Amino acid sequence: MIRTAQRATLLFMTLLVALFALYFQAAHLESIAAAPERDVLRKLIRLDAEVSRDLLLIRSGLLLNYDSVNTGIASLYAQLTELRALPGSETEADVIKPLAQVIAQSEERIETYKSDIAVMRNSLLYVTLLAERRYMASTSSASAALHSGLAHLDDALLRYLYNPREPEWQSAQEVLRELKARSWPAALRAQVDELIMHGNVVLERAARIDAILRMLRTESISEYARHADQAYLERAQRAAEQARFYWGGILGVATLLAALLAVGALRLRFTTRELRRSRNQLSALFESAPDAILTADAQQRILTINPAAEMLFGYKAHEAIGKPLEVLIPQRFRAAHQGHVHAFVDESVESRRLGAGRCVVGLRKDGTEVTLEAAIAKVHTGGSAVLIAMARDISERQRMETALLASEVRFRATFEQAAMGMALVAPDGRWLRVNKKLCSIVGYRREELLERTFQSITHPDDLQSDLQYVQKMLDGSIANYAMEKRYIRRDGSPVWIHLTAALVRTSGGEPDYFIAVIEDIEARKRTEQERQQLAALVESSSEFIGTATLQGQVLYLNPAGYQLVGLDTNTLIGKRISDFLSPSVLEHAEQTVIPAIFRDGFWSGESELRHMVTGEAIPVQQYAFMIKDPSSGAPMYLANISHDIRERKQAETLIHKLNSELEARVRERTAQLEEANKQLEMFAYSASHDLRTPLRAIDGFSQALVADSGAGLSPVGRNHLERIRSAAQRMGQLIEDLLQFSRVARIEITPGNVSLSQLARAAVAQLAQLEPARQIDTHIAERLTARGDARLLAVVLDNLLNNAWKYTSKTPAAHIEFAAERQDGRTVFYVRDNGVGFDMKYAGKLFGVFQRMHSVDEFPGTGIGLATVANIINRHGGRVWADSAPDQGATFYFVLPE
Amino acid sequence: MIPISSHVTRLLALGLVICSLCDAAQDLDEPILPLPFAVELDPARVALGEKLFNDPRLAHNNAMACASCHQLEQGGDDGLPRSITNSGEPDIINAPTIFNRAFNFRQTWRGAFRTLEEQAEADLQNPRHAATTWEELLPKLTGDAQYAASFSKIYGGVRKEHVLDAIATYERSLITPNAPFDRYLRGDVYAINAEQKHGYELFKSYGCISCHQGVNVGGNLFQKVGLFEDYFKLRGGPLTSADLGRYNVTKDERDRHVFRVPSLRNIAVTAPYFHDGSVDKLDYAVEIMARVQLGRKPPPEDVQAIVSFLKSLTGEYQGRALATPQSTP
Repeated sequence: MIRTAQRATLLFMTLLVALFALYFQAAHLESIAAAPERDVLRKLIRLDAEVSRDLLLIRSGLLLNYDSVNTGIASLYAQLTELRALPGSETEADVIKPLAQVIAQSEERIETYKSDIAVMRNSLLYVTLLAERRYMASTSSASAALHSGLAHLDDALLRYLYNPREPEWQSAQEVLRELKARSWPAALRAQVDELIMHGNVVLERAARIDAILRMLRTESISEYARHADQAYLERAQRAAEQARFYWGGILGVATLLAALLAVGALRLRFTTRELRRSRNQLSALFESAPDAILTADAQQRILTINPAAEMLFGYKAHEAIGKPLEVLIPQRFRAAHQGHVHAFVDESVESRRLGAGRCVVGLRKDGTEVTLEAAIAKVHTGGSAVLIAMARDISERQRMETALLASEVRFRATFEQAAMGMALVAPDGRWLRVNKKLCSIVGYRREELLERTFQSITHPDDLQSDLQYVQKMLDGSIANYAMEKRYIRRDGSPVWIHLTAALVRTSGGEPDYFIAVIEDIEARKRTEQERQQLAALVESSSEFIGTATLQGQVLYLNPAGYQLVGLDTNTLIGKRISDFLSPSVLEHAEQTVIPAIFRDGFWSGESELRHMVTGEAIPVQQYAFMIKDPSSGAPMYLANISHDIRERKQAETLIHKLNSELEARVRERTAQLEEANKQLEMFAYSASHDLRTPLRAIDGFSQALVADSGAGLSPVGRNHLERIRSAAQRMGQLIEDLLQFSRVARIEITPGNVSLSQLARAAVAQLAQLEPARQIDTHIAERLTARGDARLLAVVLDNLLNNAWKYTSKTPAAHIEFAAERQDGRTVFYVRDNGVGFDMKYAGKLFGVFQRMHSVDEFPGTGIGLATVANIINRHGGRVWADSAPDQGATFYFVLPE
Repeated sequence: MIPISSHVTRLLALGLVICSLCDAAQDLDEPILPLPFAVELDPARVALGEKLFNDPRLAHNNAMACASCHQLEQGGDDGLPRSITNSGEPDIINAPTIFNRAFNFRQTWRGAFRTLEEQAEADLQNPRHAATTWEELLPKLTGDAQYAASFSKIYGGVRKEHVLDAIATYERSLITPNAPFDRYLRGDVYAINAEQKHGYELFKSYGCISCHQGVNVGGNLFQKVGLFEDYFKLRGGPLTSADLGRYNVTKDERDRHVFRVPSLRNIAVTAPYFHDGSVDKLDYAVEIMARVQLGRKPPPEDVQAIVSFLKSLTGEYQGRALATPQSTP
């Protein structure tokens, strides 16, 4: 019996040792099955997704600096370090090493990406700037080719940037090649080289960036981390299986022990019961695989507490055992918790989670609280229920989720404040999130938009191509795309937009959502259309229309222009404005037209173009003007609209010819008339001269007759003789005046500076000497001078003053004035008297020969004086006229050329 | 593992986060972010670090402290084109400023170190600088009663990690917040003048911003010097090993002449400029950068406006605006 007992004791001890060994092995495997590495790997996957998203945001211009990418990379390394530090990971080199390599490679690529995107953006910025300002074309002597090359390059580069695909890449390269191949003037070469350099930089860097993005996608950290995660999962499963095997061993051994005890060789009933209970507890624990484990009896008194739970709650096992479970629950949750647990104990379910759908808050020994994820199970042992509670600390996870959310909130803020429309769109096209700007572009309220899909508001004509892009993106053949398309606004009107869309995938690689950036380009489209209309107008105009740089380099010519000057299209290069002008107008253009444009902004008038082939001069009506920068007003280009006036010119030439023929005929007639006049004057002179001799004979002999035989004559006879003498004297006077008149007509004018005041004073003095008795108030203005012949002008003043003297003879207070006044910028001399005057209706006859207003009896005179005055003034190129009324005095005006 | 309903948790956390971030959202518009006003650090470690930083006994010859080349009153560097080594010779490279280094993604011109600790250790062992070894240094520190007491109180002993932690912690405390431009970013529109605003716009439109951005206005990426024109030809003189830049670290051909983009914070008080300290004047430095990095030749008035903007990046250390002896009036 004793021997049996000894054997049984020995067997028991052996089994007990085996039991402990098995227990420790199982516990170790349990800890492996829990695999903390997997948490780290999950973090790595999430961090990688964040870095990828940041890169995407940087490329789309939403994220403006690299700080968050750097933080992401630093966190990746921190996680890697943590992974290496985990116990047991040194044996996992095959998993961690490639992961570390991928992280290092990715980092290297991201560094290249960062520096490349900086360089690319700057170069693109510069090319775009040049294209926008047309800087080169306007301020240097760049030609139209550079102008259009620049525009094409800008366009191709932008397209390539938004949609990096082969055709865009090639077209941009082509433009660069063309620009490079063309021969440029030396002054321009440097600028073109600079442009090509910047263009090449954009292409080269953009290609690299896209290659990097592609590589990052295919060899991403996430992929390796998932792979590693899988490896750890398998390891954990293996460990769990082994653990189950060991637990099975434990059960077996325990059963043996129980059997031994049941035999009753030893009185160890208590031990048996404990073992059975622990077996049940342990198997339940195994089913749920928690971190911290507590067991409690039906009255919720703590029965056991494992080391993890000790750590978690801060109680040592001996402190916790026997205490009510609710010491681990904060006061405010206890009542609710009690209720849950009671309900649970009475329920028939075997196991459930506590706090499903929410966090459970635990209370530590030190009074701090901890967020838990908890599960509770119950096991029946011989009628009484044992509760098994399992909990794990999720504060860390929560903090990470919060951090992720923080970055989401940052994203959201960027999103809402963006000046462009932005949206997140589900793979099936539903709007998931839209910003204010987008709502205002399409005119929908946010809620309305969120009930729709992008398909439903896209213009039917644009939908097909958009959907093709979306499909390609979902296939993975493109990463993003950009297009111009129309949405239909809420009010039914279409609106042009520029759409840039990128696809964000879940960490599992599934399409998650699209990021869409929507820019309202309605205004630009309208401007484009207007510009096209204007361009069509200019292109189809029948006028010659062209533009040139301020330096005279011709930039553009419309088809009518090419035709007019006989130029083949696209042969403008190197042509200057002067090449288009007829040599006869070149000097005028340089000295008058161009300065006028710079001064006044335009010049209008007639000019002549030159036919490029025949050299023919083409008369045109030209309107040349300055095109100014609409914002700054700075001169940009010279422009010219010319209208062909050859037909009009021919008509004009004809009229001109007819006119000049007419003029020649008039001149001929005038010459004949002048000749006749001259002969007439000659005749008058010789007639007068010859007439004077017989007259003098008549007068002389009449006088002799009176003197010699006057006494023998009757008074009647004497009277007759007196009348003969008087008539002869009068005839003599007439002939004298006629002689003077014809002399005046024949005298050559010898011009000089003449003092009219002096001449007038001399004339008045002579008159006063002849009639000293007359009291006349004369007034002669000082310092009146004119240019003319002194002898003739003396005749003018003698005559005018003589008249005034004469016609005031019956005026009591006679007044005579010689002065001058300014009329219409000319000096008008006048002689004014207050004599009898005349009726203006006879003014027309005033200056004719022998025309008299008064009878000789009233006022003596021959009627030749004013005719002589008019003759002299006319011969000086001046004018004479009079103003008077009967008994109101008269004023005689004359002007002389100055 | 027991899955948790993540939606509910997110919702709760979202509420918290939204509340705490409401006003921070204003900062997001600009590519440059303001420096924080303060960094939370253990004051005891900072004090210990400061003592180590200024202590020449850390060097093998007991005559060279970190502060020898990183003088706080000199803008955080030494104002020399190249620093003086322990043998009195000029060093191979310009000493970068010690301020705001924690915000750089890598340390030194070549970006050889990820952390301040790595860099501190490398400088302690650098034969041209402290030229010491841990076998030499640790006994020195243990032998000093004050150090021994401080280390023991804070860390429980003198170990290499502790020495590096103390120095790095002190360096993290060296920040210069409240620059006029930071005040502008925080909403004080009068903190900078019209010319400086114009300068900032030019800084962005020329493309300087592509590399000099983030909280440190640089210090967060690598870039090659001489993208559009050979910087070294322009500078003249023979190529030095320092000119190779990051190539010295990676031996990768692509890294030849690649440097960490330097921070522009306090740039007005940290002349001379560039890794070789070859340029004294800020306007000339701006011109060179525009030429070799951007392929542009800005007119003098643009350069002047950018310089004016750069001057608004000078911050305050312990409430006083940074200045160099030369720059104070």
